[in-house]
Amino acid sequence: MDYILRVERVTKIYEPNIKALDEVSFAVEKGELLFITGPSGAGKSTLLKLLFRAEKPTTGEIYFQDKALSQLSRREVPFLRRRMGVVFQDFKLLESRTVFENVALALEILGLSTGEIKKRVLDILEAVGLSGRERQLAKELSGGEKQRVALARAVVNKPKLLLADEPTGNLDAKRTEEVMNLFEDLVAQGTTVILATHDQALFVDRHQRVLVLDQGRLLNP
Amino acid sequence: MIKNLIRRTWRELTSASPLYLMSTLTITLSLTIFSFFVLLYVNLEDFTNHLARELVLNVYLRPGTDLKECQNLVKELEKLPEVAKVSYINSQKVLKDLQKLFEDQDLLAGVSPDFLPPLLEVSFKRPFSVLYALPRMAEEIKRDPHVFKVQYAKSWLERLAGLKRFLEILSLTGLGLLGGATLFIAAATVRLVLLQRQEELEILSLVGATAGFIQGPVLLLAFIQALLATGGSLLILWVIHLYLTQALEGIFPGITVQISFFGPKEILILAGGVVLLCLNGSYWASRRFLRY
Repeated sequence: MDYILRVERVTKIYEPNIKALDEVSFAVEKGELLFITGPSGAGKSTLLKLLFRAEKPTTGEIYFQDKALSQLSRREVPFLRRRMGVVFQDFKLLESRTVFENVALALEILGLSTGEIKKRVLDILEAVGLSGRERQLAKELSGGEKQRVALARAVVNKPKLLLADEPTGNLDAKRTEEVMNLFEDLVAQGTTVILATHDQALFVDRHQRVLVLDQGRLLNP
Repeated sequence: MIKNLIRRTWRELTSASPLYLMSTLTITLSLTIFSFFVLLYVNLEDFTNHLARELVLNVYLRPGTDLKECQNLVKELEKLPEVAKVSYINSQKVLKDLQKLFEDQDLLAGVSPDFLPPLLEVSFKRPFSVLYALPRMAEEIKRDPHVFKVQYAKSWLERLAGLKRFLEILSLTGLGLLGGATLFIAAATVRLVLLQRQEELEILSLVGATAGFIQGPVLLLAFIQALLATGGSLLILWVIHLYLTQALEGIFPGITVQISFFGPKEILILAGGVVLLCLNGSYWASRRFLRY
């Protein structure tokens, strides 16, 4: 098996003694679309935070492309994150910047030329249905629009792994379907996608692997 | 790369220009107050030293001492390491000085210049440091057969030394407090500006920007702010300096008051200190927000 990600007996305890994740282990193949589900507070967001090294596990180890994340130095972390795209539950957009600037951010940090950045940003905005909105400030957007900008930013640099935390939480049924199609296109192009969601409608009938978390424990490892 | 850094710095500045303007003004103001008291201290030091140099050692010569003997004595005195200058005042000049001193000219009627002894005025490089050596020096000079009497304003010099010490303690304590306050205000201002940008810095680090990419514009802005604050502060102080030079002219009759300003070396030290402070404050404050 060609795994892009391996999570081995990961436990995360927050002070004073809140166990957010308890001995979680699983592996993800390259090009897989994986759903992580569970009720609120099950540990889905915590798990995603550990996967892109926003936090470190209390015990256990996570390997991304066979590299142990705990071994990464402070300098190496940004380069790990450039190989991942993350759609945050709270979007994490720069509110006073335009849609274009928010998406371009992920390419600017790579040092791409202005022309290349413009082309790729406009292409991805079209793909998420935000064509013509590039000059609008992020703070002027609706929840659903913000979610699509966050998604565009996460995928614009063609990451190896895409992590999305409730990526359709603010979208109507039509937009949800469009976004899910976008994820499937990415998977078809070889990107590995991990979606954390409590919305069962997203994975029912999709015939993809679903991991269920409850109170920090994986129920179907 | 530099072009990119400048472009991002400009964007950072324009997106929060009121914030950066206010913080630069705050640093300028606190720096101006601190630097003003530094100048006050330096000028008080200069002034008391200047006053002390006016209080000289008077060596009265015996009447009839010829010029050659006087010149020999001047040479001897000038050899002393503490001595700055020795001036010969002849009897005629002594009489003229006395006539200036006494408004009632009748008091000096009939006084012949020959009656008055010529004198040597001895001034010192650092009057306060020779204060306690003066009695010994006076005794040694007095042993010369041509010397009639040696006089100096011991009590005035002692009082002046006391005043100088008092001002030193007061100014240095004030400077210590002001220096601490300036450091605190500048550091807190820099931190507050970055606190406003906390979310942005966090987001940048989460999407894969390196510390250099994020901190580059922050540090460049801190550098520019430090230079602007130093420049603004020096400009304000220069205007105050010009005003005080005019306002204090002639306030002490007989004494030329020269208000000194920072020289190029002091300006460089001040600018360097402020730049270091702002860069350091910005670096550590922004580092806290990077989520690696």
